[in-house]
Amino acid sequence: MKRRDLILFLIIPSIAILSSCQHKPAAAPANPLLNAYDVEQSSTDPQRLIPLNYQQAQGKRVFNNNCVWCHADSTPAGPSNRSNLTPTPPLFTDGETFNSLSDDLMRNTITLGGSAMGKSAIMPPWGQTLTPDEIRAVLAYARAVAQPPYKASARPASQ
Amino acid sequence: MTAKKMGEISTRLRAIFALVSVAFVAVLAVSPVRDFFQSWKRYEKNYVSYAQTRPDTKRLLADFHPGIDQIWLPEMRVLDRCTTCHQGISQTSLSDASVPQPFRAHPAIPHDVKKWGCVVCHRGQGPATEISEAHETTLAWEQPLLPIRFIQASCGVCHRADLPQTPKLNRGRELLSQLNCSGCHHLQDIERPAMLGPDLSNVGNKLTRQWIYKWLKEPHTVVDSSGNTVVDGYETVEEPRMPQFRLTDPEIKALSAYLTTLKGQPIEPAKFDQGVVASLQKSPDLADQGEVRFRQMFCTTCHSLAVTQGDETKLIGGNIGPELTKVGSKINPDWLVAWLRDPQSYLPHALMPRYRWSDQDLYKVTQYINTRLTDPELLSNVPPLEEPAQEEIRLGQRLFLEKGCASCHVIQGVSPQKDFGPDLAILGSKNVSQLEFGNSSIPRNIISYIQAKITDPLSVNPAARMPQYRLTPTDLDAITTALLGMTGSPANSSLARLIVPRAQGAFHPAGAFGELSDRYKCAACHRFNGDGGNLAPELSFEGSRAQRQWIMDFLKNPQTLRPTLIFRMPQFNLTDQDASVIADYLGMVTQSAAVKLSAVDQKQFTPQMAEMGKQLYEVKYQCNACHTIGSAGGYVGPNLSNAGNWLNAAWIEEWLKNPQALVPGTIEPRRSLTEQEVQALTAYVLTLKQKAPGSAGTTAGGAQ
Amino acid sequence: MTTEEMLNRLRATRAWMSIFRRGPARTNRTRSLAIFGNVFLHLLPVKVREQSLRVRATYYLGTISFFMFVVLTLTGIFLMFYYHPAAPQAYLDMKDLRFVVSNGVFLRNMHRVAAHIMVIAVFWHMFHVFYRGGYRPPHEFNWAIGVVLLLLTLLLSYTGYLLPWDQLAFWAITVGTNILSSAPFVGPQLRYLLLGGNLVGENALLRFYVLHCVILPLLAALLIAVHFWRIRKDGGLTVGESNERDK
Repeated sequence: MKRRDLILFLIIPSIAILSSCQHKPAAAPANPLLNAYDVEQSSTDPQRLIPLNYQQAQGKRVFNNNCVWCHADSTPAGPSNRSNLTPTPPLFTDGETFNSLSDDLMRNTITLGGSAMGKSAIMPPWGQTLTPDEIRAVLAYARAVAQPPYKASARPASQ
Repeated sequence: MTAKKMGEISTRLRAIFALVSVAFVAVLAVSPVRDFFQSWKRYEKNYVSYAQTRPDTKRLLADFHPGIDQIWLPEMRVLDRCTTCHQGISQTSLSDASVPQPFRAHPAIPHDVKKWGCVVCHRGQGPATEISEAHETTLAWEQPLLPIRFIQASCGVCHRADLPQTPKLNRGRELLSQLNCSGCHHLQDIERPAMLGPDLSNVGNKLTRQWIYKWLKEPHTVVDSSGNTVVDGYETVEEPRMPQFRLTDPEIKALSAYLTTLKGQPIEPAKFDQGVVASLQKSPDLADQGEVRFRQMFCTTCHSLAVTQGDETKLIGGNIGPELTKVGSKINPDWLVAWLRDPQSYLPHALMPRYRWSDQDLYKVTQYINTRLTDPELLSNVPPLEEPAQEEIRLGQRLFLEKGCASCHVIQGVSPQKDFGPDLAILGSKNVSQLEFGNSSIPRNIISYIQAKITDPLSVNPAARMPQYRLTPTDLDAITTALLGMTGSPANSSLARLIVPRAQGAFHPAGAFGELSDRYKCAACHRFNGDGGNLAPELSFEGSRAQRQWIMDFLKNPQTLRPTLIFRMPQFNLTDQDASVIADYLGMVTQSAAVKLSAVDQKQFTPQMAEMGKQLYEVKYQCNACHTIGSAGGYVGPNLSNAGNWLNAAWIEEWLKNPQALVPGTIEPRRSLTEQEVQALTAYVLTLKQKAPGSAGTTAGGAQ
Repeated sequence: MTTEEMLNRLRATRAWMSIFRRGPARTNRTRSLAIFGNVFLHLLPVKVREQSLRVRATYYLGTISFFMFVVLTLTGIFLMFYYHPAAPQAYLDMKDLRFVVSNGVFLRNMHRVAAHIMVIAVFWHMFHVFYRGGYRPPHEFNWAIGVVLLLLTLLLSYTGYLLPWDQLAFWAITVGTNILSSAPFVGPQLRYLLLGGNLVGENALLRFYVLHCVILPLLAALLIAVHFWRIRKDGGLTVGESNERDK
């Protein structure tokens, strides 16, 4: 083949085809914190943010409506009721107290109240006020924000 | 080349033919090979092997169907193939966070995935079966997945009314209303508040030109460069209302010149009864007395004041009215008296109630404001301002329109520019190609666009007229969520009927009660049947709840029912006539069908029952954990020291049986009380009476 | 009955005789007639000049154009199996081809690339024929047919462009038909005829589909047949310069 043919039929089409290749810019790595459904400041380190998923965020909502008055030191209305109570209820972020308790125990305490579980009668039963899903959500929230952090046990999570 | 004979083909030709044939087959093979190795097939294989590690393998595999899986709802125009890779989406046993994506189940939400599809909430490309095509912006599809951070925007597409499950969306809508975004932009379902910015028709009577200058330069109480509200150098965190306009010095001079010429009706000098003035003028603690009255009347329920506690300064109080820390240095004293006597004469739609003032009280309070709530340094940075020239005033008049002031502040006779800012009612449905990025270096997606526009309008369009807002990251996300939810009406009518509209407020009482309700602005704080303000309890069933005499006493002298609240009902100085009209209305109209007042006879409650009730209250159910009697108890529920005079017996009974039926969302837990226990507790509560309720004066019964 | 007798019986039936007219080819006469009467054996010319087979003679441009037409027809038929010419469904069918149909991407791309190549080849063929003087007498009529074929090719491209029913399609057709409406006297009517209305909507899609799949391909096939026939009857390719006009 003559050189002219080589240029015409091979090189020019190759240039045309190769020039249409586009370089795809690398996608930014997904930041799990930025894309979490909701975030919560860690109680021990305000700079650290804990991502919350949907269920935990619903638990946060229920918690702030019903539980925050006794299980936290500051509430949306200002002062908390916690210092009025004897025995003092544990803070919701108190990992040392709650991490060793099973999910079932926690759920039953919330549902049936303190006196049914051998604890103080100050803890009311919420089983008729909150739905089982809401109670599960509150538990998920408490587990998520516990300090020291809560580690789920090896066996599959009981629902 | 010539063939010698038929069938004799040169080797060279054969070689070329062989080569080309092989190349041809190789090229043809590319497509079937790629088809064989599609990523969704790989995910399905992985799902099957993952399912075999789970305890409920049998069921998972029974529900598994190889091949492309789609949710197809033609009447809703849904065609979503996401479940091809996201095989576990409906399997509740795969909900745990340890299950790897894409096999994890969808969290339990109020909508069924199979009935709605995925794209309706998560956006993205439903028909796609490849990851980048489904999730990201590509050549053929512009709408990427909505980050989970903003997923509540999709709730807002149909739910135009606020839901408790969407706090971010609700907050965003609240901010859009409060910050007056609807003053310049048309927004979907965000009503223009009655008070956008203050009406400026007579502002020349109220403010000095120096103060206006200072305000235009820095329109907050003061906000420092990091966006915190600062009072006199101390820091606190609150939302600023008026944004910062990028005004040059001559522009500020012109605007302030123009505004001071707006005098309308002149304010008369304040007139007090001469005897009162004479007796009070000489008191050394006049300002202190004024402060006492100021506090007793709970002005801070609506207005905030900067309070220094320890080493930090906070704005304590409500944000219905402006903060008042330095208001004495701001306003004309005659104006203040006229305002307090009749706010609506200056500003017809003002939310401030028209109190009944005695000359004594008014004098004391105004003296307090004028001498204590001041800051002599406030205007120290303002340059000397001479008498305004005509050109300056005309320039100011023009700037008032051009800069967008007219979109928030009303001046009689001045009509604002229509559509000062672009229409945002369908912002959430816009594709990337419909957004004007200009020459900026913002990432090309709608979220970055919205956030850049809000945090720095000039970054997107150097000629932007939008002023500078300062928002916390949480609030910025909330506003972005609300804006992303504004997608306009859906394309087809079968979706249109799914929209849940915003309820329109409809409580406008008439008659004597209507006049009083209008004068004292009850609806600014209280709700009737869901319509009104959020600051105070809902009064829809107040007639069933409270006894008439108690209501009368409370209105004359609002006490503390909840010890820890900052916001209290102000003392309006109601006459007996006023209180009686209100109490009658509440007693007659605001009744609950569940509470049969006449069915309960007070005489059936015996002292034995009350004794048993006391035991239940204190020992078995520990009600004192949340309620206060006397000085002991908890702060969560209302104070019960005077409950016998306050609550109706029938209400107490119904409340104890099922609180949420009477006040949905109340935090009183519902217990399984027997009928006997209910009666006993009611009997006990009814015995909790204080001595004559009014005699306690301004200190409320119970804990302070 | 032997097999031979059975076959002879079969061959005497009316059905057989209507298909295979002249009976088994046993005599030289019947053998010749079998060849002469077979259309498929006469698709290609009996004799071909050797010099017309050289690449430099025609660069095979006509062949390429025709081959592309065949590819387009075949891939077009397969695409028709998946395509509904209805307003939102057409776009979704394109998505189906892209994501669901095995080798759907390849099929669609082949159709599209073949269309590009056909347009290029057709133009190039026209330039080359002009350069070589293939329009000169007695070949003027064939040249006219070629020009009409060019027009049909472009129309096929244009009507096919609307069928994916995406933004590119919609606006291209909007622009094109608006230009059409500026033609003097008949412009607006032509636009109305083409779109089946005043807007680019479902009617336009259906009309373009019928044009693209039925009317224009049939016309093109007819004219291609005439185009080839004219070449053959004139003595084949590369013949013009050495022969005189048939008187």
